Amino acid sequence: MTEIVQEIKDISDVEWVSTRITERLAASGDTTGIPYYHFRWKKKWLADYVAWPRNAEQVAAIIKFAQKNQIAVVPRGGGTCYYGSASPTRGGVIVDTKPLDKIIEINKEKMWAHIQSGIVWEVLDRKLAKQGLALKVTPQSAPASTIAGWLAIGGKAGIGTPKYGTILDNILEMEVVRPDGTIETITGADMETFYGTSGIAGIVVSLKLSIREMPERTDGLMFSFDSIEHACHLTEELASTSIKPVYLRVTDPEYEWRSQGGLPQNSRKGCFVLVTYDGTADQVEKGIEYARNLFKKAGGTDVGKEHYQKSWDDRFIIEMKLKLEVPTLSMQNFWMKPKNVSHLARKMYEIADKYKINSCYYMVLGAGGMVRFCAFAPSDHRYWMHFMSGKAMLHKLVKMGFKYDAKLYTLGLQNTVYLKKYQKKEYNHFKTVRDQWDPNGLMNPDKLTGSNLSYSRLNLMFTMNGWIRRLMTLFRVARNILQVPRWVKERT
Amino acid sequence: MRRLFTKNFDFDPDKIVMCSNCSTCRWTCTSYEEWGSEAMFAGGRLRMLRAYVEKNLPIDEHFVEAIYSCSVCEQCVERCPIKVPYGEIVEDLRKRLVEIGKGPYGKLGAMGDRVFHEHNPYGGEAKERANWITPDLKISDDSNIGYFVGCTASYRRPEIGVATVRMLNHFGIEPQILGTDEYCCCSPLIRTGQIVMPIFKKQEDGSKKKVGTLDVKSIINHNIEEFKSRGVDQIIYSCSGCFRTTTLDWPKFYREKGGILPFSTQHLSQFLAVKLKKGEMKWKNGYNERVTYHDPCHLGRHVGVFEEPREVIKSIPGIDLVEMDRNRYESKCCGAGGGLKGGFGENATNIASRRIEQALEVGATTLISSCVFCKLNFLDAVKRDGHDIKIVNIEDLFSDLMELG
Repeated sequence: MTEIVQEIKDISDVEWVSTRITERLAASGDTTGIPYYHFRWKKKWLADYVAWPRNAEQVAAIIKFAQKNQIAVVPRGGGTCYYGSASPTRGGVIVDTKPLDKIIEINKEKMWAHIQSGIVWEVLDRKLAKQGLALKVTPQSAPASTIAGWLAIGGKAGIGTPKYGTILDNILEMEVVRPDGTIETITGADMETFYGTSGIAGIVVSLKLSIREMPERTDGLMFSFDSIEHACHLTEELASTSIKPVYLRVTDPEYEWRSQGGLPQNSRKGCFVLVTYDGTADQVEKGIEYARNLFKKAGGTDVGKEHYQKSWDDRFIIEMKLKLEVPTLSMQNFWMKPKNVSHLARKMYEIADKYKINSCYYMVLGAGGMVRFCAFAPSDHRYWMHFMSGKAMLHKLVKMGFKYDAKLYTLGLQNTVYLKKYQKKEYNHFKTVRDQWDPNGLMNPDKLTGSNLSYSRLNLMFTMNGWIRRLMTLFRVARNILQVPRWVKERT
Repeated sequence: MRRLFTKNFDFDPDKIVMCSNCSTCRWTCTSYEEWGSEAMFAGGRLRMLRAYVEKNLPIDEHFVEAIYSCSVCEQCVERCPIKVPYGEIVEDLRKRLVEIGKGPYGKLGAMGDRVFHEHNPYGGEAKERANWITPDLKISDDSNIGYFVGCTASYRRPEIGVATVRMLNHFGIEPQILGTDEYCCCSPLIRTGQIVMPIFKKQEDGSKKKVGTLDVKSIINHNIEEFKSRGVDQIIYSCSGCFRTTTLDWPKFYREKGGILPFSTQHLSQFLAVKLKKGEMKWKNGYNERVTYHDPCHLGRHVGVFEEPREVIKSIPGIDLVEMDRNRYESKCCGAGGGLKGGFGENATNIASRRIEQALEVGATTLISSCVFCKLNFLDAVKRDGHDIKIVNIEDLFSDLMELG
């Protein structure tokens, strides 16, 4: 039975709310770093309160308090978004959903788990595994991100997504708190307003998630190829077969080199494709055989079981492992068709060469045969020009990406600025959701429906940066501060 | 980069920016599990610290509390994709806080006072350090093997010291013991940043008068020189904290003096595993119970001793060793280390209680550890929460089963 919480009259009296600066600082930041970075996007980067509700009633109470006092509400899951989805922009109250971490019921007959929304993916997976069960889909940030966190950013590319679809495809029912504080249980199409909307339509407090029995076998293989075109073509092929992989990742040599600290000796210079199947032993065997034949026909080279295993084991930390070699990660990620990836990747290399900076990418097969393409500009923010040139490259890629029908995968705070200009359909959808459910604009403000920074200003800044960097390279004063692997020079 | 940082709280920025804020270290963090606050796990602390130093925020009690609420178990380092040396960072940070007079937290400073005056953090009299020795124990003054007893066994859990010496005697070893010349290994001081600290005495008029300076290096050097002068070239430990500190921290301090440690270090579980391997150990009695082994952070994650204690336990006739959900590198901290027990006693007991629950989940009736500090904390949890489980250390078990008591 949940505790009925009375209306909050004085927030300082609530024991599950803190006003301590230490708590506010720690909860106001995310993977983008310290909260006051990207300050131009923010009017007030530090939250005024951090709340740790433990049930729907407490969530409702804090939202009602916020509405009454016209303060912003920032729902927070694991805080693992690269784009400031859970960063305050107008102070307000951070509603940390991580204390909502209980498993309410597991139904083995109907194969669903009724869980609270703040549970961390890895924790849930481990608990299910003890009962011989497994999750169908998980994000690559599973060691830290929460169920509702991935739902809020619109999770559709991760482990299991090629086979089982998006996170929304695997949710049967949700209990939500609306921006006016009402608690509702919703199903079907109604749930779409909570998918990829960063909490502007309310906060999900619990949900029924589709699960499955622990697969009998999970195994795969990894090949290297001469060019990215091979990988794009193979990704399309593998996504359209009846035995779908549970995970497919393509990495370029620099990415593989930096994250694994070296490359297998016999590998090719274009890219690496890792594919994993799960299910019955027979299904996995068939899948592997099919992929192996396909890869061989395409002229690929098997990099060996050991390297495959290492790369598969790193599936949850692959992005972070880049930090082994570089102090600062700048990245941009796109949701696009595999056949278009090669254009963007080649453009990325071209710009990086012109700017004399490094670049690398990886892509993951998501739901519906689409991929999440992540472009990185490894840098060191202490070398300002180098760092900003990386950002300028990513900005250019965003502009080019739309020509290739690419959409931004994660929106959050920073990418909202591109929405109105390049993704009008999505922008209008978010606007409708905001107008319908949060007319006061208090739920996670400055995300999805409006940005404090104008696109023109951003574009001018990065364009100028790009020009200056080009001039610097022409006059031979642009220095690449990172070690450049032989592979980068030889990549095809 | 350095120009961004405040002069008042200068801290190496390179160490802070290593963290990518991915929060992979969060859910397994000992203090996050207890407090549920993002200011109280490794990544969150570093995020907060960076804001404090870059924004020149005044160091307040909450900041100090957040920094001292870590047990330095280094589960975060284990989880970290790029192995940010968080344990070293938090110890450096605490040292810095002590230097500027903001640390240590709460009553932890009393440990430094006590070590300065009585050479142990418990405040027992220095002259009583060897009072635990019973007449049946054989101790020599010319053996090349020494036994570093440690403060907890000397003042709080004497049965551990007795059991260890009996165990050594059983194998024909009469170890050297420093007795009243043994000083604290300085583990609690190093973990809480009390490396160099002025010691004050309260005067009758309420004012404080400086009576000296606590210097960890001189205490460590004293211990090393004592063992060296007695010709000891191998030291055995029953306390994992002392073992970790001697193995990993003493060389750093001693190197400043230009020396390398003149002796090797061995934990008693390693000692027993060697005896077992050589076939020199045969159990007199069996132990017909389901047991589980708790890896002390200092022995396991920090030094890498995981299998030796298990080999010893598995060799006991009739024993059923089962593993807890989190074991070896993933082992959960008992909550006693890093000054957590001294600074946040109740919380440390809560953490121990949760670890005991994990042992109960796998049906264990006995929880075996090999660290005196873990045992102390587990016993506190059993006493407070009434868990139906026996808490023993390997040396206790050895002493009982070999009928050495």
